[in-house]
Amino acid sequence: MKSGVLKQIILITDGQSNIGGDPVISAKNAYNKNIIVNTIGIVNNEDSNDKALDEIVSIAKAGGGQYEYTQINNLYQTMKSVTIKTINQTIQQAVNKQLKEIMGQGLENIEPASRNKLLKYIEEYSAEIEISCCILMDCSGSMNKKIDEARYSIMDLLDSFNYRKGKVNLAVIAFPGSKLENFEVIHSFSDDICKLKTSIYGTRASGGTPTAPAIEKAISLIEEYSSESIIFEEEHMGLEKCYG
Amino acid sequence: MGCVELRPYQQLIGKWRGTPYEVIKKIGQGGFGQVYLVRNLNTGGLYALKMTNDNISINREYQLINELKNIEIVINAYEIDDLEIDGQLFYFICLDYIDGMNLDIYLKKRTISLEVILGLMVVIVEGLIKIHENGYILGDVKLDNIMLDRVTKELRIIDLGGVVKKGETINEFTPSYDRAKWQCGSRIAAESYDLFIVTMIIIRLIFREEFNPRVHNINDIIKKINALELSEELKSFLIKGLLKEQQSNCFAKDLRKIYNGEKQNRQSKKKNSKFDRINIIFISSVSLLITTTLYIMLRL
Repeated sequence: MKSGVLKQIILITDGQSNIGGDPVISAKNAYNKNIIVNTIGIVNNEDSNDKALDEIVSIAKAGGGQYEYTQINNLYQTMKSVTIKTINQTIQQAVNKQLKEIMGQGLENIEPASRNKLLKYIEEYSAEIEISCCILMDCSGSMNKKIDEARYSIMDLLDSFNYRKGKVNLAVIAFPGSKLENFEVIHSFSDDICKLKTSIYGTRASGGTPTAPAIEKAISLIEEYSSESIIFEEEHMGLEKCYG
Repeated sequence: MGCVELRPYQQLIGKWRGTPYEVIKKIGQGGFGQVYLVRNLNTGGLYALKMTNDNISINREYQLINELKNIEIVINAYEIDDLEIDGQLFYFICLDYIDGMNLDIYLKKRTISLEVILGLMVVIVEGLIKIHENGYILGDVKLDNIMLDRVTKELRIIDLGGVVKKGETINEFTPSYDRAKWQCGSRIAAESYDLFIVTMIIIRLIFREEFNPRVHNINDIIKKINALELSEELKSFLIKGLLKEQQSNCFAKDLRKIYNGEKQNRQSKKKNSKFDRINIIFISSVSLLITTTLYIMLRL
């Protein structure tokens, strides 16, 4: 198994992108550079804007990542769960590939009761691998009532990463920025993590939703910072099957 | 997300073990996938089928449930298998189906006495002791993961998603019940992590209010406890549960004592009110007798 850094983007948004290019293309771009794009759609109780939700699914599929919907008060748990699931899936694919090379069969050809050791191995590996994670936080006007909770969730996620065995490199980008520019880098990978606690409160919710530019910026931040990556295959179709 | 929806009457066959199931209805949904009420067509029995596309966590849960299978309060798992549906591969485990309602709903639906609250917690803590003896911490102890069986009146824990080994870090938590959020301890799994949650649950049920660590601090809660009309014993038990590291055995002993005290209290109150009633009836009948006698005498 190669060691290396697993790169992912977590896009948190409550609506359709309406500024800049097509975020689906940006997500595909990220995937081609070995960066997985996960999306989390913030939904209100009964409220659901179908078009916005479709976009979340398309972006995740293009980015080889997970998508989930959540209410704002459950954002932290959802962020945690997509991060872990992505890591698990990536490692599992790599393990599966090796199994097929060595034994001619993958996990799905092994009886469930006998898979335990392999799955445990994957779990442990996932807990220890280094990850570079860039959070894209929607700060458009509609996030007005939810931005507080969103900030807390990011801080909670940061807190939980402190307990993680493997190293976590974290960056946070708000889109749009507080001066209504397309994006604002709240926290860069090499910044002091203590500063994030203050800088995150500088975010404001207003303006449109420039999702694509934000994804592009995340890609360049990650590329500048991390060198080696976990290579995963054109098993893109395989990934889609996993997530339905 | 990602899991296909199953329909009532849909027939399923486990890919490896070939057990045939018929779907009855969906009974749960979460980030992990879905839970369905199903009938095992070989035995006719009803089970809960937990289906997901995350084979790592379903495997983890299955192994854990089996390891804890001697603990009554934890539900049992019967098999783990794959399902192929429309060309997609899913994973499932077959669990006990508990016909009843979860404690969160049960306790919201009615006004409950302190005695009932404490009684339920005694049962839960006794279950926690056994989980702790096996080297695990339950973690995200939630009333909605504890079912009250309609028929047997037993409590069963139906979700072990937050379980971790002692000494590891708690992964899943609810902020209002997480002691680290309240700055009352770490998120390293220890017996008192679970006991903090139980204490918070009791407090929430007594006050009928959930406290938010973003808004309050632990001293606010302690002040409120002290201001209540409760026994000194219960007050110091609750405060200890929030602030001190302790073993579940001691916690359970203290809790049982307070529960028994409450029970006796209620029973003697009942007795007293019985006496009061007897007294009132006695006095009124005697008064009536005297009045009647006087009346008759005066008329003669």
